[in-house]
Amino acid sequence: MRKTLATFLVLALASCGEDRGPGIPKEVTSIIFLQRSIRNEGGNVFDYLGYQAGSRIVKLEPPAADGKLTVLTSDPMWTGADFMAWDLSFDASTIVFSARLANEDRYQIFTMHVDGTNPKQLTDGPRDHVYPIFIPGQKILFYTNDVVEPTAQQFRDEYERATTAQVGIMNQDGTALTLGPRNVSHRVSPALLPDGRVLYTEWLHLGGVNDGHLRLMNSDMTGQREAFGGEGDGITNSYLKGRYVATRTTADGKTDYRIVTIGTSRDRTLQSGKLLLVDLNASERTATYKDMTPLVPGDRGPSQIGVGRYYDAEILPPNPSDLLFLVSWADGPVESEVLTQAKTNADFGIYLFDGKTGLRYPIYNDPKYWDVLARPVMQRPEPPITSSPISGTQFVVGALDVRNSSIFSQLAGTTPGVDIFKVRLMEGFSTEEGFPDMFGTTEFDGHSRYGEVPIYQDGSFAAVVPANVPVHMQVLDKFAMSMASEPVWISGRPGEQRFCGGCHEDRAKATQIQPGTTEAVQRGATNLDVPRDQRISLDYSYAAIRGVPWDLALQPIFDAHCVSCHNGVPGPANPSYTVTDLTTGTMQTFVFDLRGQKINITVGERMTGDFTASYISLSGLGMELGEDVVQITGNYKSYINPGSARDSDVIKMLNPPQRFPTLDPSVRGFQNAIHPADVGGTEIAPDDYYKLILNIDMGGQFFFRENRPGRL
Amino acid sequence: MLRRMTVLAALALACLLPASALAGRGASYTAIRNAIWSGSADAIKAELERAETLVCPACVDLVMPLIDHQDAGVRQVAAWWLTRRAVRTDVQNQMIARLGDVDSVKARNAADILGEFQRVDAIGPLGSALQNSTFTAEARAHMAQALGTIGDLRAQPALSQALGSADAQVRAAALEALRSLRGFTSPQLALPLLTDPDESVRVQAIFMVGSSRAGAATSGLVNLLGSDSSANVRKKAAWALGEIGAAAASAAPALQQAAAHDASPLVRSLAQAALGRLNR
Repeated sequence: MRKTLATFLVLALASCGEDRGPGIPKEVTSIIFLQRSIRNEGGNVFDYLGYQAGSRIVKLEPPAADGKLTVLTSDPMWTGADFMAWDLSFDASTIVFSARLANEDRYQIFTMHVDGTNPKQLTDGPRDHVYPIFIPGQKILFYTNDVVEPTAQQFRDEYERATTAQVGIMNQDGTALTLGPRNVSHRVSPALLPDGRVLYTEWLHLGGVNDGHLRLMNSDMTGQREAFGGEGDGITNSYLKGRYVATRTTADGKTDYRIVTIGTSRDRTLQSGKLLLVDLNASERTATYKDMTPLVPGDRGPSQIGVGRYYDAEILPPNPSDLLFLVSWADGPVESEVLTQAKTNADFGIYLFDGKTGLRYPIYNDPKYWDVLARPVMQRPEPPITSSPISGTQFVVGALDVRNSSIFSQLAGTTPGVDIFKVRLMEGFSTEEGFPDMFGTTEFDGHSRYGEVPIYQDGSFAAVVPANVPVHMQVLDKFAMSMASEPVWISGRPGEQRFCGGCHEDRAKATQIQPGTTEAVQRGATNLDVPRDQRISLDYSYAAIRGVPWDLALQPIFDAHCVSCHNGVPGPANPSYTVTDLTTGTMQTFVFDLRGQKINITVGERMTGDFTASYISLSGLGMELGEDVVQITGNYKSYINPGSARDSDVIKMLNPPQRFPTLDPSVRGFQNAIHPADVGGTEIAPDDYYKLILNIDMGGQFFFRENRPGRL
Repeated sequence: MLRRMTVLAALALACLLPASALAGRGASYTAIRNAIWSGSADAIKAELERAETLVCPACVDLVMPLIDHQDAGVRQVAAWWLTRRAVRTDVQNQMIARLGDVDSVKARNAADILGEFQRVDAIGPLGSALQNSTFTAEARAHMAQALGTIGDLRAQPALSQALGSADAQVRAAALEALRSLRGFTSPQLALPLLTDPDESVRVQAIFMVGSSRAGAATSGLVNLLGSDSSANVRKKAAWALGEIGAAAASAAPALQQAAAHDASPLVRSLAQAALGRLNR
């Protein structure tokens, strides 16, 4: 009965409407796709572990409702498995896929002939291996929650708590498995471009950034860089399942790529959303897009009947300019809450989508499955191997001229040695190191300073930092305050040398200075690479400081210079505010207080009791006011602007002295008095100024490695 | 008919729902409440994550019952949300008290919450409860998992003791948790369990020696590769020998044998891959 119903629906879909559409191009004689078990738990767009037993891989030949459907995974070994992603070899003879077998806990990578014979398992072990794709050189690229550093824990995303997925490559027989450099959060959904580079989605959350952007890397996992979604050029929070569409020529005569991607909210949309046609245009800043499905919500709102959401898209040959796509689409409110309330599920089926008209034509839909990730079974050219020069085992990062920037206008016209002096480099980590809560009231990841290296007269810098570890960089002024903070984490492989043209430079423009001739290269990169177990402050002097634990590094400053006045006694020196919970009628009054006792906050956010009065007084509660349930009266103020000491009131009041090129107390950061000397107190020491600046520039957090709760 | 009305009602409600595109923004009491009412684990997780910094004392009453939600992922996100609030201390005390009671389901859920809280002061109570055979094996397995999630090396004694549990589920969970401890350097604990009668325990023992690249496990792994009745175990043994690499060079003949003759094509391919990794 169920089979009859499925067949009826397939035929009904195939026959509905008068317009038969443009039809599948005759060159496409068969397609392969996944039939995943119906689920209403798509997870957020980075979720790669959603398991439901009973999926399969099928071939439809010809690609039509009355085509012959062959189950490629009919062998009993696949019974109860879930298949989450797949790819076709360049010669169209082999498929690679990720599956979690029945009675096993992890997704692993397999290959088999395109007819379903000769199955091979390539990976195993206590980690997942997902999103495999063929890459040039007889290799497979994939993502995994295995960790490249033997002595480190894999990053655990602070926000959604999953062990993060990172890139790896291996030979097609499972040998030479190599893991790549890590991001603080997930990387998912890779796809190959004709030039051999890999397009993928990366979750970025550095400070206020919390998006899923498209990025690019070489097929050897080097040269990772941005592609689309940042710098304000997108329309949705996240972009995923990007796929190559066509090669095009830009207005200035350069070869570039057009891709299609799904644009959607981070969560609740079953990883489906709008179909966006994106011209990468060589630069994230200059990339452009066309929304091919304007009625589809770009956020997490339920889609309407007849509008639905798209799960994936694949351009059909032979003429990409025809904009004919194989897509998976489900009708109605493709949003998990509404679907659950209605006790129904999204029903993704395979359709032909005409990108010129926006019309959609049914190909195949079995309501028992999510029919997704359809691809034509056709040969395609094997791109060249893309790589960066590898030399030695260290990761060298640098810029030819930091003033060359597409996003930091404040660097334009600056002079090294006058306005800008150093680049600060910092390591990133997350809660996997044993942080039960956030690192503080701000939204930054864990930070630890590697050190600071000089910016030379030509604007160049170079540093050796630990390979495979996320690094965050800032350009510093003469007061050691960040003038420009790279908004993303970057990382590189051992032996990789990442010399950018500038500090987040415009990738569409040619770099004017040739590599190898910069002063930084001539002088040699400053070595900041030390083993992981040594990346902790031995003391909090300028030379040795790495983390800036609030209670250990900063509280002594407040105790020595501040608490005689800022002691929690209401008055001109200690303004107060009151938070009232309008729901319960409770209230709590906060008085400015730089003492070090921990306070138990009974209303509002950050009610953990982990933080001191001084931290709450300067950082604020870090809260988001929702509806009309909470009211704040009085002088609520945050004296810290997380990530930017120079924009923080506390630093302006204290008015730091010049640190570079030499300490000079006669030169001050701001045109105001020096506090607390202006009220008869003693001025804080230069290194103490630096600790405060460093803490704020690294995100204004309370916890660092040095004061990790429960640290042995 | 009722189903159709339900669908229509849901669609009508859909038009009234807020629509924010930003992760971590746009949270509200109403959104959390609606998500919980809907019963959608996906929506509950999303809305609590979005409410990470939401000022909403009234939301605590909404979230507290989720501690005993049937979906482990919902229990986890509830713990994640609660640990950011002052009520955390009270919740932790309540959960620790559950470990001294006799209700295994509540103790299991308590372990999940304490694990997500990641407080080292829960190690003692969890370690004691782990040895308490009053609780079901499932509950004690969750206690072991919680200790692994906390990840502190001070949990090693309790987890090591649990390796002698009569319940295979507990032994397997303890092995997995030990592997999660930061600074754990005692893979030899797994060697006796390579011959455990339970397949899941053997698998976890293989994972531990493979992940730690413990050359001392080579002969045990070779035995499993050649004679274990479970293809799953043989696959894992082949994988582990490849992970160990050069220190397992003596396993080459066994891997060649498996690559050529094992009944399972998946074992054969993993053995072949492992052969290529022995020279690492």
